[in-house]
Amino acid sequence: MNTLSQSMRMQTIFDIRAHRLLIIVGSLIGLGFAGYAASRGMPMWVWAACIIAGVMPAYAHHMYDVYVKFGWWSALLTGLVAAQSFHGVEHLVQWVQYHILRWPFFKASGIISAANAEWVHFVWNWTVLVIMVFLVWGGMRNRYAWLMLAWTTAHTAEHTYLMIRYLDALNQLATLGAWGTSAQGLPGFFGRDGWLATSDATRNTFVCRLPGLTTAVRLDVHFWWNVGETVLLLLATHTTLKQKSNHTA
Amino acid sequence: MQRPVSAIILCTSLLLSACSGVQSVSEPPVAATTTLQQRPLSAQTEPCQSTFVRHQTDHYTQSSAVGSYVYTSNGSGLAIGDLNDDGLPDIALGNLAGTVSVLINQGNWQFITIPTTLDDVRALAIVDTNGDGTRELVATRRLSRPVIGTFAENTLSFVPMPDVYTAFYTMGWHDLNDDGLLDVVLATYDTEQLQQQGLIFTQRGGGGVFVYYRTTDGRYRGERLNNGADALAVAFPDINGDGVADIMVGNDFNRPDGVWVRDKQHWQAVEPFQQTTENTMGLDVADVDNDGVAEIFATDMKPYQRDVATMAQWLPAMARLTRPLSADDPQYPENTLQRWDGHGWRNVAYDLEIDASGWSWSGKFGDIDNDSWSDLYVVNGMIAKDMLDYLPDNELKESNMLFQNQQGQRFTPVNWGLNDTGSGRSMSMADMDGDGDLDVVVNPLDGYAQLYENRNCTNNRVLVSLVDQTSPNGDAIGATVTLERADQVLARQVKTISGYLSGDVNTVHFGVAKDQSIRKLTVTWPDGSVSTHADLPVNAHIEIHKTE
Repeated sequence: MNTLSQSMRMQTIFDIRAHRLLIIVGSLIGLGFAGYAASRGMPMWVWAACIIAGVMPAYAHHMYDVYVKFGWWSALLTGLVAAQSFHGVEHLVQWVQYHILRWPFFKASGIISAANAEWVHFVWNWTVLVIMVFLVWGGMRNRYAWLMLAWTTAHTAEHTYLMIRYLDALNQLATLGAWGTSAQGLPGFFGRDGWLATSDATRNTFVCRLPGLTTAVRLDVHFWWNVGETVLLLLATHTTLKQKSNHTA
Repeated sequence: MQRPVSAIILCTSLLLSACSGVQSVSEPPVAATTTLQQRPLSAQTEPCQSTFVRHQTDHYTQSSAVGSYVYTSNGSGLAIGDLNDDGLPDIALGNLAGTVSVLINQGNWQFITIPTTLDDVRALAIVDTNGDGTRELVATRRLSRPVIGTFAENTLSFVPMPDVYTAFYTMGWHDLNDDGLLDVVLATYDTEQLQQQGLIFTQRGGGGVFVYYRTTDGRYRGERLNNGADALAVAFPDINGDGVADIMVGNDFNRPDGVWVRDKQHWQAVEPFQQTTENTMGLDVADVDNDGVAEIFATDMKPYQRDVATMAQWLPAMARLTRPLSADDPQYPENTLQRWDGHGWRNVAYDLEIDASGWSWSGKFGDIDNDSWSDLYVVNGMIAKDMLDYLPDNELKESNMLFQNQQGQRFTPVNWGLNDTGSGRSMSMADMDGDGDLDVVVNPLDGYAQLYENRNCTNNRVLVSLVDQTSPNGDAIGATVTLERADQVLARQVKTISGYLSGDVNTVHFGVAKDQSIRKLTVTWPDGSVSTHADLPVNAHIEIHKTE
């Protein structure tokens, strides 16, 4: 298997200067579509998706370059780090929208999560987990990598729990004939009104009112999930690349 | 750890005597001259058990002839009080499509039902409005002005309340200008009035929150505090700790609650809470943690169970009822318990696990098990053909919930026979059978009113009634009674109404744990004078008369 065959540097992941023209052209096209979407009154997440789609070819090209130069493992790592960083920014934006700009809950949904927070995060977290498994399997082995794997497994488990509840709730609503009702945003395992705070197993014990763990609102819980995930991934990547660099030297 | 009891007592008289009428805390309280009578409580009904025994009444509260829709789904009130002055608390049960019933207490859980012709009733209170020494039954009504009923020869005769012409939803009685006469705060439910009357409601002046001061010639002088309300509850907490009762009005439909503090003879609107309920259904002021300082409890709508099936029943209704709030909006759709932390009010309902009790209406504190800690009982449920059209029988069926106070640290739900699913609306607690413990009366929607007999015998108890012979406010409405034990101070207020549309008896109740005794009882009378009483027995009904 092609693993850390050559030494890649951390900054390579984000260095897409070689594709300036593609970035400019893609951005302009994306902006054009975004402007059209805005003029048709489409929601903000559609505009953002247009711009992201415009930039995507440049970054895909960059990943291909990494693949050619360093192999598939490095390309996968490049893609994951960039995407998780963007996802972290998404949650940061959400956090700023809610806590700094004082937007309402329903409006503070980041850049693209407004599409459907449950599906977006469910798919995204499973993707991260699968890629992490591949990366570890392919040689990313240090304490941060193991921590990241554990963290993302727990995070994905929570989103799986949320997805099960979401689908179950939609099913129950359909049974009641309440088709148009949204079931997004139900509490998960952690946080205020979550399973840990309200289950029969934990009610009336100290566990159900642990500060933060069972008192934070869902937006904050997932902000911190992603802060942890992004930081651990960057540390794991940095350590791995350093290990490889030393090994090559 | 021993608490500094004297400091707590001082705090109590400074901070909490919500009806003392003292304008300045720097003035030392005047000692009241009192006489004291005591009588032993009647023997408790055997067998002792930890559950309540239910007695069904023949009073059926009907929402409307065509079933329950939004607004009629709010149900009707009840009141407990001694209407015929025989020493036994009677019960008035409200109705909408049907008529009000009055149950005259004969003792031993026997009642004579007095029918009335009064219908379309919201709040009820049994209160001596005119200071003549006998209590009247006051009712607010859905679409017409409030009425006052006088009881004589087993008949109630109602007359419109003088000088009040608006259809008010809820009320609260208190001496708000220190003249010894009971005044009343009345507030409207504008959303319903607009639906019923349309623009006529606005053209007639609209609604809001009003203080009606009773004058010496038996009339009322109104003062409007604001121009709009969706009020379901009124309470008189001491918001700013100046020893004077302030006004709090709980509003439905995302309308922020109204709070006014008294600045000399003027009312000033304030926003003292960082977090409040969004759809305030009921209010109660009670000392929950036995520190002598009252907390403020408000009920709202939040499911206790968080399983998917329960949430699916709630989601469509909540989507219709609640609007998304901004991050700096203090309103949240859940119960709140405001506690004074020395710097400000802080909501601790979530910390104490009473933030969620269901689609809650009347919620009140009372020491159900006489262990000295006030427990919380909340009645729940909703029936509405237009809003809950997706549910069987258009009903969100929920059980009423009793939360046992775990020494002020948290509340644990318990089932002591009070978890009925009969869509409760109004509810009050009082000792109905003279054994000194708190019995419960519930007036549900589209169901028969229930009386719950408390058979708990495990602890001691004390009842305290106040008689102010020096004032037209003879029941000392607004007085604070504090019971001092070795390590705690238990405070109770004499109220006319609390929770949701639910009139209270003027006798206050203290549970006293088996191993405890009473060190001292302190009464802060409505005029600010204070009387203290020592060497008091337990298991007694103590009547304190203020003579000068």
